Amino acid sequence: MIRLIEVSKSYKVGRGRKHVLRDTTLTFERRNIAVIGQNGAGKSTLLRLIAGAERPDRGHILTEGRVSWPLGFAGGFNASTTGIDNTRFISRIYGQDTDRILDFVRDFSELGAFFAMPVATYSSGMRARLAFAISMAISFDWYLVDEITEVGDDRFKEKCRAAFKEKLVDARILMVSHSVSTLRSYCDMAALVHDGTITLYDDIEKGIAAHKQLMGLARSPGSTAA
Amino acid sequence: MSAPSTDIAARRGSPLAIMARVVAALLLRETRVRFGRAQIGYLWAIIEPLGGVLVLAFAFQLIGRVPDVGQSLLLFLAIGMLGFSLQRRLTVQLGNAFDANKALLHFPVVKRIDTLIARSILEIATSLLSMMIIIAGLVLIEGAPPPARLDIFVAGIAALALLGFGLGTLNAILNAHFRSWRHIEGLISRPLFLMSGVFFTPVMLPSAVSDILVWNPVLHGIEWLRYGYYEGYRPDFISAEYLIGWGLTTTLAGLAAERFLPPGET
Repeated sequence: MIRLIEVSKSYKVGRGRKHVLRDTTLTFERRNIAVIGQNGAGKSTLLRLIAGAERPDRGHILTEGRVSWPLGFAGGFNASTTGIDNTRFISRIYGQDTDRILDFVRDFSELGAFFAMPVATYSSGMRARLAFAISMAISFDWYLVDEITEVGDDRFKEKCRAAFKEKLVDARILMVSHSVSTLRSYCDMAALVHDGTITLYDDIEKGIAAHKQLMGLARSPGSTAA
Repeated sequence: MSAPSTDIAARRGSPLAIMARVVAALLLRETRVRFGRAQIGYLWAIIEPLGGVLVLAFAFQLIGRVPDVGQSLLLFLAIGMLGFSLQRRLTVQLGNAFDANKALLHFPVVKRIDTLIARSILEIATSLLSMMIIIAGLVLIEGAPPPARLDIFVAGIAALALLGFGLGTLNAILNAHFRSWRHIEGLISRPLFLMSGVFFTPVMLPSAVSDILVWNPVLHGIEWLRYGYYEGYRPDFISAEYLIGWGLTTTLAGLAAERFLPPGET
């Protein structure tokens, strides 16, 4: 369960302020939740708030269980050190058994000899494979997924999907994605972020429909929102 | 480790336990990145202040200057240099802490304050080791005296470290919020080496000069170290309260800014 209590968050955009959340109080049940909303509505900010990567301007966020960092980012690695060192570091900060995590990541990421090379030498696909392997090695109760890109060949993608589905037996997911089919395959309810508020939809299809309706309104003459 | 959700709280640990874990991980990582895999890298960091001491000593030999206090020119300069570099290295290294750890700050368990603590531990440990090796070397090789009042000497080190931590924390915050701070700081700090009594004692200066330099807290720290080290050396104007006041004020201001200001550009 994740609770937002009177949470407000805004940030500067040009000369004005963009309000992502205005005094929002709500509870995310232990479900798989699609976070939807227009570009710039604050979906990523919401995930970063829940992850604890950003502080709300006001209010509190209570999380039950271990919450992942927002998965799917390219950063988070120290490029001058090796994949092994980066894995060790992440495993240490999350209080994991380093040897076990190393074994898992070495095996899952399929980086071979590159695992012992500086991350700077990796291709973007290799970085993504390392990032995904590490996030699968550590058990979280909530996976926050921000626009995860699938990497590798079909066999590797299938392996990733299988690993994730296995995690989701015990864990739950909060997912941001542009792909409606990805959202449908992982989530069963929706949280629509719009104009400083979050509306929960028990049925993901209803949420997607509401989102499409908003997009339709936004596309009315004079607006260029994607 | 498949996760039964009952022991979640135990696995996450208390905030203090998480912080200790993160600081330890950062410490291991920093040591590795900064000094490389070879132990020789760390050795260099320890020896580094010695280079400055030798250069200064050589210049002083040329002009035939004798140390303001004690018999050993090398010891006199070493105390000044070690005290100065302890404070200065903390200020500089903490100032870069957020930037250097930008990628790692992406992980929500890593807080900005953790990077400051990890760097402080590393810098203070390196400086202490450096001090012990260099001073022990001078005692053994040059026959220099050991510290006369070790407790006062150590207290002086602590006060300088506190100042370094406070200034370093402020430095980090200012770097995060003002793009040009880096340049301004460089400008302000450049004459600091000359003004901190690394190679002189203020009593030897004309009072017009020492009246100004007395506002520099680092000078108080270095004189404090000499007061603790040399038997019978009693600088009349140093004020422990002044240096500690600076240390506490900058530390509190820095920590408050870290806590209450938004993260800025980092």
